[in-house]
Parts: sequence; C-alpha cells; structure tokens
Amino acid sequence: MPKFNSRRGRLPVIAPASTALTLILALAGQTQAAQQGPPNLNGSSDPTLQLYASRVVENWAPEGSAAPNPDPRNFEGVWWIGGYQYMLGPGLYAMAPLKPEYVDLLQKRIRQKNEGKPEADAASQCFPHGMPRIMESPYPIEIVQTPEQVTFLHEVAHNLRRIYINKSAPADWPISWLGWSNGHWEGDTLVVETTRINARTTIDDEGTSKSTSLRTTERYRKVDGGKRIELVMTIDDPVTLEKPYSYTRYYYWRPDIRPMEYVCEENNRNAPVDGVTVAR
Amino acid sequence: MNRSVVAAAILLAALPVAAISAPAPVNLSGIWSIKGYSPTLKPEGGGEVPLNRKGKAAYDKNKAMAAEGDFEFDEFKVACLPPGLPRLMLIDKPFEIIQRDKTVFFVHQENRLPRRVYLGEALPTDPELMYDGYSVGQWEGDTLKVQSSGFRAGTLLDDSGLPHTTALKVGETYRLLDGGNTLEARFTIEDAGTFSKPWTAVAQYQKRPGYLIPEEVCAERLKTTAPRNLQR
Repeated sequence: MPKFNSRRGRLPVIAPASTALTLILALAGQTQAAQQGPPNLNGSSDPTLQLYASRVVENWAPEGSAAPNPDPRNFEGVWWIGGYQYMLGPGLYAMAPLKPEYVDLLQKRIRQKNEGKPEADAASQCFPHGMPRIMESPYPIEIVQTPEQVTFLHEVAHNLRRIYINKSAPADWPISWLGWSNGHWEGDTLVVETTRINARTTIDDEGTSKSTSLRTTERYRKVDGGKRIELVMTIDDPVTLEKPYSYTRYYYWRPDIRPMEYVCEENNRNAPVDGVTVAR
Repeated sequence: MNRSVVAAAILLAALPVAAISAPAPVNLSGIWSIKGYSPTLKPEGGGEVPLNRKGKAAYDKNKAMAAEGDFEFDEFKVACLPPGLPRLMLIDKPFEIIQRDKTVFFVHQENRLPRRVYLGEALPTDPELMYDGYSVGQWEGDTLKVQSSGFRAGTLLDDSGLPHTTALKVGETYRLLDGGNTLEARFTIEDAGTFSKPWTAVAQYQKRPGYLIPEEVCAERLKTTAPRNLQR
C-alpha cells in the first residue's frame, strides 16, 4: 500500500498550511480571533447575534506529492477545501441578501444557538447537508470523472453528488437533499446547475433560509497549475432572497489523502432527542 | 516482429512508465442489481455453511433474536451502520460501478454507500478496521479479483444474521457473462473464528441500462439516530 496521509485518530478539521509563513499568519489570525471573537451579525453590537468563528486557510498538499493531472478538464482525484465558513454569504461573515422575514428567522436561529439550544439540524441527524452547504464541508472530496458523469464522493457522511453532463432531470424526479445536477463545459470550466433541492436544511450552519425554488450554479475550473479548483458558487432563491449572490472557494489537490469510512450514524451524540440537540 | 509492433514499442518507450500499464480488458461500469435476492448466503454447489462451534452458536443466537422480532444484533437494520462484506453486495438494491484505471468504485443506492477497490496494491498489514473493510484488486484476464480484510466486528455476512469475527477475509471475483448483461461475483469467505474451512458463494447481477439511482438516506427510515443511551 502506498504511503497516505493517515489522519488516523485526529479530528479532520483543517490540514496544516504548507509554508511556515502561512502557518504563522494563520496562527496569528487565530490568536486575534480568540481575543476578539467572531463578529456579530451585520456588525451589530448585540452579543446575542454573535456568529460562529470561520476560518479561511490554505490547504496545499505536502511537498513532494504527486503532480495534478495536466488536463485542465480532468478533475479526477481527491480535493480538500481551505477553511470553513459557517455563514455562506457574499463574503466572510457577510449575510446573504435575505428578504426581511428571513433576516428575522436567521437572527432567531443565531440567538438560539448562542443560548446553547440550536435548532435541530439535518446534518446532526445524519441526513445529507444539502446544497450549497455540502460544498463547504471541511472534509475531502473524491472526484470520479467520466465523459457522461462527474461524481463527487464526499468523505463527510458519504454524501454523494452525481453531476450528469448535459442531462436534465426526468419530469418526475423527486426533490432531494442534494438535488439534481446538470453539468456542461464552457471551455475548461465545468458549469453545474442544481435544482430540485429540498428545504429541510438551511443554506449554511447559521441558518440562512432556502426554499425548494433554490437554484445553485457552480463554475469549477482548475487554477494554480491544477493544484486548486476554483469554485464560483451562485445562489438564487426567489422565495428567500432579494437577489442572487455569489462567493468563491478553493479546493486543494490532495493526492496524499485517501477518503476514510465516515459513519455519522455510529453513536451520533449530536442527534436531537425530542427535537433538542443533546450533544455533550 | 512486424513494423507496427516496432512502431508501437518505440512509442511506448517514449511514454512515462505509468502510462504503459495495460488497460483493463473489460469494463464493468454501469448500474447493476442482484438477480434472485436471498437473505441467506448459500454455499456454491449446495450444502451447509461450514460453521464451527462458536460460529454456529453466534448464528443460532442471532436467528433466535430475529424470530422474536429483536434485531438489535443487526446494526445495519436498526441503526443504518454500513453492512460490511459480502452483505453490501447482496442487498436487493441497485449499485453503480465506475471503473477507473487505479480504482474501481462501487456506489450503492443503499444509503449512498461507497466502496473503493484499489488496483495493483497489497492489502495493508495494519489497517484501521472499517465496517466495509479495505479492498484491493487486480485484473486476471477478464476477471477482476478483489481481496478484502480489516473488517470491524459486529457486521454480518448476509441479511439472515450470519456472523463473523475480525479475522474475516473476503475474496471476490467479478466477470461479465451473457454478452456483458450479467455480472457474476464469486465470494470466498475465510474466517477461522466462525467457519471450519473457507467456502464460496455466487451472486449474479443484471445490468440496468438507463436506471437513475435516487438519493436514498437510511437515517430517514429511523425514528431517531441518537445513541441508544440518550433515547427517551
């Protein structure tokens, strides 16, 4: 068996940055964050609206790792996002352009969280994370690619997305957690339109609402000599949003990683009992 | 040696070593579902499963619980944990094979469970134990030969409650029959903790062209996924 980064026995949160400089910067940022804490929603002075602490870090493969495939349209392999943002708005800690009633709902959810009584969440019940949230997961994604289908095998809770190339959903295709994804190529960019997503999850961990009218458009392309995939995610939901918005993420080429068996259902201490999360 | 062979040899010599590995002789890719599902894995050619004394006692206990309607021994059924091997390959639901040069992926409709068979590698000597084990494979002619070990205790070999220990090793061979419309799997079960000798069983799968696998979430079938000691 070849040597792989085993990750055995440690929390798979964020891989170390590749250079000492970025590591120092990341640690400095952490220290600052620890002192000041994350901001409150929309810069409010109300401490009951404090957001989760998000991180944006680099997540390069170790020196000497195998080179990425030189074909700009070949995404096969294991990729790992840099950082984790709990609120998926148009920027770090920026709120999505929600309609007023959904701003109220977001505030309610953030307050519940800060009171230690978070709303029961789909992922805490071992249901899929939903779109677009699954793409933010800080776990590796293995991409398997054939001309007809690009398959995303997420390590986290074995979430699975099939992106069918140039194939619309059958008329009776059911609404699901991760929806139906139809992809096409624009040059070297894979464009993925996803619809038929259920509204049993929120857009992000903080509780940004979505409806079954949600449509995500993802534009994936290899950058940095193929060592990263850039994703521009555009989110449109005429029910909950005033207007569509976009954000950008990077997934790092990680040939040193082999996805692990991830079993959410095993002793799931986050699972709600009688509608209340009882994690200890 | 004719001229085209010489030309091919020169071409190959110019390529990096990794590019020369022979292409797989057949393509198992596609969506498949088991033919003639049975909850009980039966030995090839008939006869009894060669359980040893401990294996028989464990199997009898499971069957007795099942007869009482108590499936606490079956965490795949009651808690959506992965079913282990070969049970995962015996479920009465379709699965997709995506065959690539270095890995053959089995992606099951059941709870979206993935399985990876890494080609051209040896089994790890000190694997982290997993429900579905660790699988490596190689092509022998038109047959994909898979070996798996590193199984956690607690899974079952089939839907009837056939048990195993962590000493379990599962061999599988896959080949196409019937002009590529049928996939045949032959399982070799080896577990000195449960059986008096290794034994084999056969399953066949029907190709399902055009079938689209829906998103299936096992936890939605459960009342709660909370640990038993926290359930009220």
